[in-house]
Amino acid sequence: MNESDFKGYLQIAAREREEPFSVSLHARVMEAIEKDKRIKSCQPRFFPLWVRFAAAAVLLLVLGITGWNLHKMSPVQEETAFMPPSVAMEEKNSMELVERFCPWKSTVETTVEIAGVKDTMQVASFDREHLPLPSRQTIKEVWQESADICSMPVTWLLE
Amino acid sequence: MSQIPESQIPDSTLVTQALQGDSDGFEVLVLRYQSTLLRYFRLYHSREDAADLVQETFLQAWKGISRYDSRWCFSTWLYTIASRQSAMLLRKTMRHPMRGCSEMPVELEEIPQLATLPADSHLEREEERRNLWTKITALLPWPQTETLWLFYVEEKSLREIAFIQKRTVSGVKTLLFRARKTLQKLLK
Repeated sequence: MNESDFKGYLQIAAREREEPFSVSLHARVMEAIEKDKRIKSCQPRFFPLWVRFAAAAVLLLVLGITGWNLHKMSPVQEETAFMPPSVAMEEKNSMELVERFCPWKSTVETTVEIAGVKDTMQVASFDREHLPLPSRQTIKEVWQESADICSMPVTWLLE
Repeated sequence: MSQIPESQIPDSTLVTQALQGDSDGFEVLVLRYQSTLLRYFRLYHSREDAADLVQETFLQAWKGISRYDSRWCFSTWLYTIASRQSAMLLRKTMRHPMRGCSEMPVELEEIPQLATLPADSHLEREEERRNLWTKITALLPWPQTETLWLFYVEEKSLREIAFIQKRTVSGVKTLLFRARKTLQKLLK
């Protein structure tokens, strides 16, 4: 049996298998489709799945980048991050920031040499409005007291 | 301008109508392919199951009409759904298709070869031919029978069958070769 005979034979056999066709099948199919249409028209319309996935991915990306940037920032940067960009760029030193944004505060410095070693004493910020600035004399007295305890000679370099 | 009869409207036009939500266009497609699908499902399933599968296939096609790839014939795309539906039901029932009718697998030796039948047994030969596909489904595994059906009865190309069965073309050729080899013994 050659290929075309084989094909013809199988096709005839398939045709002979055909059964009386039920007309209700078509009606069943169309009824199912109409039902599906009705259900769809009642359902709220959502964005397609791929749109929802894309939106979620973008949101995650933005959150990730923000988180990573915050993680990388130093404490000073974090502090300046909320200032105007020009200030954040220019002012990095916290003391400078204090002086710039809190003009009523100031620092008092003095330099001493104790036992041949120079040291700078920085007295923390003082509120000019509420506290009187300590005089150099006061500072000198504090240092002298410490030097006396240690029995060390003190040379005042900065008066 | 005269209206084109429904039977002459190309599938692509009807699919376009269906894509716009027009179920009338889809209805023509249902009328066009329901008997073909029913015949295909009847290879392995009971009459009731086959009717259910036809309904389910068309419903899936309607729901997923936006995924239809116009590079393929509509009937080929429909067969991808039908093939999956059929395989799913076969897996669910966990029985070899059509064996439910006889409950016993048919052995090749039990089938009298058509050419060897005496000339006067014309009725027997007709009967044999009528039952040929039943015997094929009993002899061959589902993928081979399906390939044979799609290739010879539905006259699908190897590429189309590969698309329907999610196989490579060489895989389809192998299935066809094996099926032919088994059938040669039956039809020699």
